[in-house]
Amino acid sequence: MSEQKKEVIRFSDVVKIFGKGEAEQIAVNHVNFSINEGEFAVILGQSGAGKSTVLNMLGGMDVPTSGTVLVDGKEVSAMNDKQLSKYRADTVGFIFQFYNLISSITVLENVALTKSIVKDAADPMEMLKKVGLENHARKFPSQLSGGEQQRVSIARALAKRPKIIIGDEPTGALDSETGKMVLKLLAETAKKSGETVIIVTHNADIAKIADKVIRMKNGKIREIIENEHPLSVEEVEW
Amino acid sequence: MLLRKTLREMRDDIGQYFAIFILVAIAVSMYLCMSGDSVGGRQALERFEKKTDFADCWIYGERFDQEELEAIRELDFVENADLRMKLDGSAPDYNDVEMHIYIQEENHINRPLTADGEDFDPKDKDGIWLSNKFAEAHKIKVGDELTVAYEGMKITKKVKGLIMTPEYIYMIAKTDSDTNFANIGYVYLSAEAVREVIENFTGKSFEGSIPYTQIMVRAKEGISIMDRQKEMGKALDDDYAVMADSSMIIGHERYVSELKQHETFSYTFAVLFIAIVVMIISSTMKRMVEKQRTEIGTMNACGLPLHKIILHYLSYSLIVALLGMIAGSIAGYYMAKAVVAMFTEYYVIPDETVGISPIFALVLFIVLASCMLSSYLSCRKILHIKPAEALRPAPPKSVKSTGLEKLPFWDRLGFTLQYILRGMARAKFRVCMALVGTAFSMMLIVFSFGCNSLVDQTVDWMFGKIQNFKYQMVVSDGADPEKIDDLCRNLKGEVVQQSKIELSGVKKHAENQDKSTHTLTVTEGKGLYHITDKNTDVTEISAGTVALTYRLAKKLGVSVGDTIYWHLYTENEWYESKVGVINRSPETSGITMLRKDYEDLGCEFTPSLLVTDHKPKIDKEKDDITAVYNMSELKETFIEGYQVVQILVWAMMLFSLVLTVATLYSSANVSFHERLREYATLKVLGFSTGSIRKLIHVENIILTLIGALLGSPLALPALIWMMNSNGENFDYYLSIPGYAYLFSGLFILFVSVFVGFLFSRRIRRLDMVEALKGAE
Repeated sequence: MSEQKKEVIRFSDVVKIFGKGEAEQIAVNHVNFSINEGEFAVILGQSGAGKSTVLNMLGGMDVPTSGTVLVDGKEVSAMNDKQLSKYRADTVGFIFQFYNLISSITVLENVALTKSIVKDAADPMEMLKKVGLENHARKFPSQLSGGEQQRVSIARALAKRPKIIIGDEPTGALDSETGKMVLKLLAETAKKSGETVIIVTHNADIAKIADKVIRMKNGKIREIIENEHPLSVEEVEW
Repeated sequence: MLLRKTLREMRDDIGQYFAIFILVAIAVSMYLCMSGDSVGGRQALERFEKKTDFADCWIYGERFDQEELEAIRELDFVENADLRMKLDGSAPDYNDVEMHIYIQEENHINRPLTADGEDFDPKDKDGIWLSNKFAEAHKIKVGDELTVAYEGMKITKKVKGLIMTPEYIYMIAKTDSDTNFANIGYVYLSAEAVREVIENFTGKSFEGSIPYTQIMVRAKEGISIMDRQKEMGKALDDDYAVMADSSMIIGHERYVSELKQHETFSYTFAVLFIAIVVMIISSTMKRMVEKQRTEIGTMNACGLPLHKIILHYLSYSLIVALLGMIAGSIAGYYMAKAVVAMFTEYYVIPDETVGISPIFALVLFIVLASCMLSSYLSCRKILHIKPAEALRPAPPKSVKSTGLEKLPFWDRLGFTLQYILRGMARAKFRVCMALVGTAFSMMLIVFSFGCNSLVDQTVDWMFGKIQNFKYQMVVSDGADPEKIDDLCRNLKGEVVQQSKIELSGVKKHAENQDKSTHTLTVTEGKGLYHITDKNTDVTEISAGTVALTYRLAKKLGVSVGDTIYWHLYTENEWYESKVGVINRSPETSGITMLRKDYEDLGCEFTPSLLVTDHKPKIDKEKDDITAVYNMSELKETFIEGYQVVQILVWAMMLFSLVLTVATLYSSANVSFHERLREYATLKVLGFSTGSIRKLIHVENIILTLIGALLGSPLALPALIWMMNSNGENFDYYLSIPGYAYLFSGLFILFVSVFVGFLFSRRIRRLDMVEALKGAE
């Protein structure tokens, strides 16, 4: 019998509407799902499916129009600005499609930023070693390739020791090989430290490596698939 | 369509455009305010001089006759000349105040301008023509009777006209330290009107009793002042005391100097403000155009003609600059009007209005052209990028080490400082704009504190060190010196003579270019009327020498031990004196000597003031004293004279406040937009609003501190430059107290923090999702 995993994320009847009156647009329409601790989940869908909106609400960057978002037992959807800042600092690690590194500071300093955010942040150099970039520590982001920048982004996300890691199309700007390398790194590192990873993508192949796949269309969840036997990163191609 | 786009986008970034609007408005209004008054003043002066056929030259001497006048008139370059007699009289019915009496037989030049009643008639036997401001102050009307007195002789006539003359644009009574038209006036009378009175009073013929002491000359153009003075000297066999041009007529020159000072200010301040505006507009437009890169690419790709795209982006600065110019012109006009109104309280010049010179159009053009050029250059850069490329967001800037990382303490600085310093090192133009703006603001504010303390320091110097007495009595002209000496002994006081002299550092009877008009002060050395040295400490005059004022000594190239040459304005005889000490005095330029030395030269001591520590009981009629002041009255009127400085202080404070807010806001705004994505990232990572605001605050504080350090040393030279532009007679001991720098720094720092708070709402509302979208 498999061990019962603790639920870490729960979306309950979440609705997100942008605009008002005639310009009203329902981006997320009565969405319900949950993700357990340590799971590698993928939210899959085409452009306009509402997946990024879900991710933004999960990351505390946006709030639902109605419904509740619970993360680790806390109601994120009811938090004020200050609480959301703390939530983003303590609970969430972000990985962006275009890396979003601070261009004016070095690679090491980008990772070391986390020390200004959380008290028990990991040693930045150790994190760079984990992603294999210790030799690039003194470089500036623009002096690195896309894949390298994304690895820095992962190091930065992991350095905060977050409960959940959120990636918005983390391989979207990378070629296939680099993308796979980044995914592998993310999956393995997260697994080792027991973190929950949620990735938003339109790439169905990536879904094959996930423990859970939440497929979205037109703001609604079409299906939720529990992958009994997820493939390893090496086994997928796109 | 595009105009609507422009207006909407301007509305969305209203703070930035408002800052530019305000700075343009200030630059234009400051220029118009200062130049409007000086241009209007010059135009009014020209009209005044033309209407009155103002003289070019005044020849003063002990006595001139008709023959000498004719000799002058016969000179080729002389258009016309008149003889004139000036008596320093009084108005017995009006508290014996100062009344200058002019008597003429002819009046071809320097004709007084009629404000009311009849024109002056030099043949009229019954009338007297009175200065309009005196009449106004005492409610004297045409048709009233007026009595003027001179050395006991009284002349009563009917006022036939109220007049003005360019010689008395500025006037101040000997008893006053600030203009009060109730205490000084002048009258014009014909020789025929006074002939009988004078002959009856003196028992001599009119010609024999009171001589003509002035010849006024109006010259044709094309001959230099030097040449004509040489020729006139020859015509008079060099038997004259002083030959003066209009620059030596105090009542005229003071006004001209004030106009010159305003002209200098108007150019300097306008140029500085325009320079700062151009920098702000450049950085704002660059940022705005860069932000619209994809839109420009789209317009370009859609085939919109390049000139239309350029015109569209020029329209932003055009609209703001035009609005600023309109607002600045309106505000400047009314400010200039207020300045003109303020000056009419001090100066008597008819029809002075705000004047606008063609240079104003040039200033407007420069402001507009600079604003549009900076927009054009920013826009052109993007238009040169191929549309396909411009359609994509700009790639992140390639960033390399700034060199700051090599600093030994770099690693200890922490994220905030490292982030800010690197950002500043990479945004040189923006940093330069903020530094110039804050440095200039700091200079202005320290400068205004300096102006303020200058008044206090000068009062302490003047009334604590130089004038070391409790009461000052003004001795009437023609008073009996022996009676004054008796009174002085009774009051244990000191008598002081102050006379106008011509002084040269070269030789006796020096040429015009080697001599200038100054003040001779003769004291008794009893310790009530001091002189002060270069450091404003009280010092003494050694017997047999004179004290020469500091700025004059510098100008003449004279030092202690050298000889100077001088003569009384009203006498032809020259004297030589050895300089024993260089002294400083805030409002007097000339020499000071002891009474004994003065009398040893054979000069008659004629006291002007009697100063004492004992409260005098004076019978004005009997004691030949025209006015008595205590120290607090003297201080009060002295401070009143600095009212303009006080207004200037407040104006500077206001300008520096606006300038600091505008430049720091613009810098922070440009920085905010440049770093919008980074701030959003930081916010997503968990940085609080306060932490991000701290980045803006710390950067503003660093810029403010550097700007303040750069601006502080400029304040004192600016103050010296401004105060020295008052004229050579003024010598202020200019030092700015330490607290002025401290308060100015704190003030500017406060403004800087305030600007940081203006961004709080924007940081709080920063849309992380939007800010992070589509970045490649």
